[in-house]
Amino acid sequence: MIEVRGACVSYRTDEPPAVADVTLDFEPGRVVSLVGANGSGKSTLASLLCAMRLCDGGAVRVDGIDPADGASARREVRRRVGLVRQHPTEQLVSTVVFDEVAFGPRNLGLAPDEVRRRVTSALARVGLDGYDMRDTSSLSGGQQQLLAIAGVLAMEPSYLVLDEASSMLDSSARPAHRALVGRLAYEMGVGVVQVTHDPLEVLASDRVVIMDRGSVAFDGAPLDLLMGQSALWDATVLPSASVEALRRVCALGFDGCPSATPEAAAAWLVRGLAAGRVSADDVRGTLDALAGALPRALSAGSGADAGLLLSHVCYGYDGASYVLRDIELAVAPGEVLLVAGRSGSGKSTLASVAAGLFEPDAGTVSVRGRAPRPGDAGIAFQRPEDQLFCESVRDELAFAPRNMGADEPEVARRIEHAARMVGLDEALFDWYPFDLSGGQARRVAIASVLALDAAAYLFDEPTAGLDAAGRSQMHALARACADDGRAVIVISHDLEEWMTEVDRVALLSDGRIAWMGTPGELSRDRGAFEAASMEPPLNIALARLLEDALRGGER
Amino acid sequence: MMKKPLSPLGSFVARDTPVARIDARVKIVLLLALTVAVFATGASPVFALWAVLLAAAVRLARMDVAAHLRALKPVAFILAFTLLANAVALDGHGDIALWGGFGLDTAGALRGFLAIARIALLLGFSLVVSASSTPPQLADASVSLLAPLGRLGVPVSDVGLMLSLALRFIPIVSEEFFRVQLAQRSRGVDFSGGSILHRIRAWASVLTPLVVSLFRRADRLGESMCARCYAEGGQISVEMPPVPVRDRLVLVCGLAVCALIPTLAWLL
Repeated sequence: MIEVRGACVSYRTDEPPAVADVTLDFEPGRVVSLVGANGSGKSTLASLLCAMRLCDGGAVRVDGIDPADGASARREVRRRVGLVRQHPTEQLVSTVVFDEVAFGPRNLGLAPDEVRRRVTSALARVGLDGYDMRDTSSLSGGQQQLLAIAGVLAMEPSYLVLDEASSMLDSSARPAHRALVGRLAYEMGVGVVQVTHDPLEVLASDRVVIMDRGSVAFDGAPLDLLMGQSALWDATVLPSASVEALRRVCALGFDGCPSATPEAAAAWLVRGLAAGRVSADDVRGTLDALAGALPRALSAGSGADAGLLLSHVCYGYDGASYVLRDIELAVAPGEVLLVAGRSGSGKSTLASVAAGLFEPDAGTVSVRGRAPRPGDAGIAFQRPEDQLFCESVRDELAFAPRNMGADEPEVARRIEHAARMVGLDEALFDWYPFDLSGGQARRVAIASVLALDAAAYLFDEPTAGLDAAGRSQMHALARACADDGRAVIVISHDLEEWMTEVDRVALLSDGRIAWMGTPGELSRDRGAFEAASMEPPLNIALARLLEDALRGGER
Repeated sequence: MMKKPLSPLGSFVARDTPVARIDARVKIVLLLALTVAVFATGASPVFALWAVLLAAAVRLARMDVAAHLRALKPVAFILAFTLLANAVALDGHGDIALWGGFGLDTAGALRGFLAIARIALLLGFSLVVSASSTPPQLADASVSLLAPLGRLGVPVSDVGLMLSLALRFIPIVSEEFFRVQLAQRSRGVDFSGGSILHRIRAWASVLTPLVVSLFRRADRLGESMCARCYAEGGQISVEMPPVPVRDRLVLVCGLAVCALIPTLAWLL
């Protein structure tokens, strides 16, 4: 048992405490989700649990051991409570998989035979058996995260703290991650505490703890939160059409057995329809919830010559194999296009080519009717906050327009416009960019791109790592840019998140556009995802299940 | 427009070649011996043997010679300048007078040529080693060769960990570098033109965020290592199998060549 008793942590004396008088218990063999907005104190609490930080007041004891008792107690707590964080690059220490997993056991001073046994069993646990001698940098992002988990498991911990460990995972890797968390808790008896925003991870846990300004705002079962405190759920967990549908099915009498997941709810609905317990209208209502509010259909492509146009574009890094093949794409001013695909499908390369940063090997790119030079199309790369470098936010926003040769009155106008677009307070203009919080830094970075005043904008995974509030701001921003008369491309692996926010979707597979159409067409076209060798997002998969059940009932 | 990203010079070529099969410890010792021997070899026709040896090593490692030569283009300028600076005499001491005090100094030219040849040879041999060994092989081999220093109180296992971390971070840093550079180009930064001051400012826009993010990463990595019970000065020993007989033979022959060539150059 991890016992937290009246724990307090303050980073600065002039600010309210990050964790204020928190008392909680965490048991082995259970999955607990720790949820809250950015800055709510959930990560600080997580670092207390694994003795990466000691509390300023109160106490944390792990199986009776208090890490404040000294270095050896702290080491033992760290062994018992494993920590896995967001980025693989921040936790992998070796270039070889075997050495990576052996790092912890070797630090514990174990004999070589025992180290080998633990490495083999930990790799098998996470499904990386046979990877021992592989180069860690040759693994995909998802595999690197599994490797980080294996590295912790090899120390045979009783508890595991996952600090947003899945937030950088591709949506296609998430179901496997959830299944792994379940296996660790229910088969190995590890107590898992996961810091997360993901609604499906929250639903799959035994208990949810919501943190708000350093205190516990909710502590209970996920369904009690979803149904009993729906406003609190909506404010802290990411929105999801599948979860909306689950809510509807719960209102029809679904009690969360065997599990409180959208999949179980859909299966309950299908059984209920066959048994006459629910009506066809109930199922149709659930289908509406799964579809979400799809945006208005927009005439696609016709006015695109004034926006962003890619024609027969091919591109390869080494000349031997192509990353992009024969791309035909037209985005009109005022339109938001989502480019989706698995990792490695060429999405990010497509963005760089479209922005004029890479010259295509064949075909043409045009922005407002001419070949783009860098700066003609604004592009916000993944984690754009990593490119900030100026002395003040104001200089950061002025950097791009000054480079493009704008005069000072024009620069001031663009700064003001860009700041308004992202909702950036003018009081922050004199701040040092490195002092900003994660969400603020993201907005400054995106504003610094918008200050280009370009005809087209490309956003590469703009919501990665943001909380619910930050995400909805980004959704609104993409739309606001389009309404401002720009052609907008959003690149994301998360279809469920973006489908209701865009006008058209292009599915990219192996460097080709495998499917293109409106979100409405995509949700109806059963062949679309197979064509792009993608799994349909959960809401669409469940909608198909229900449609089949309805059709079966009519027959 | 941007050139396509290159893989870093001398990065490991994942091929099963005769050179790749040699134990990394042997390769490191031979490289050190070669360094001494190449400098010990004086101006003599025998010096050409080194070039023959390098050509053979490159061939056995199956390296892409053209790609390496392309990557060396910027260095060629400095080498050419070195040669010229040694060969040209402006004060009339040159043995081939061309015009006034301006002339060519054949002894200087030979000296310059030898210096360049040594640099090129050592670079070539180093690239053969780095292209035929994986970073962990090199790190483990270095630790194993340094092991005797452990008795003198040198924290060999910490050095080994640092070496391994550094090697792990090289590709991450180079990827991040290209990423930030691309992002700044999209914000209108021109890296190729303008005054020196302008260029310094342009590179600052890449190096500042790069260094900041590296420090941040190093910090988090350190925390993650603590979370996995890393303690400084811990006894992490790397088990290395003994050097196989065939590689011992390679070592002995290599050392013999390193002794033979300078001796021949001195005798002939």
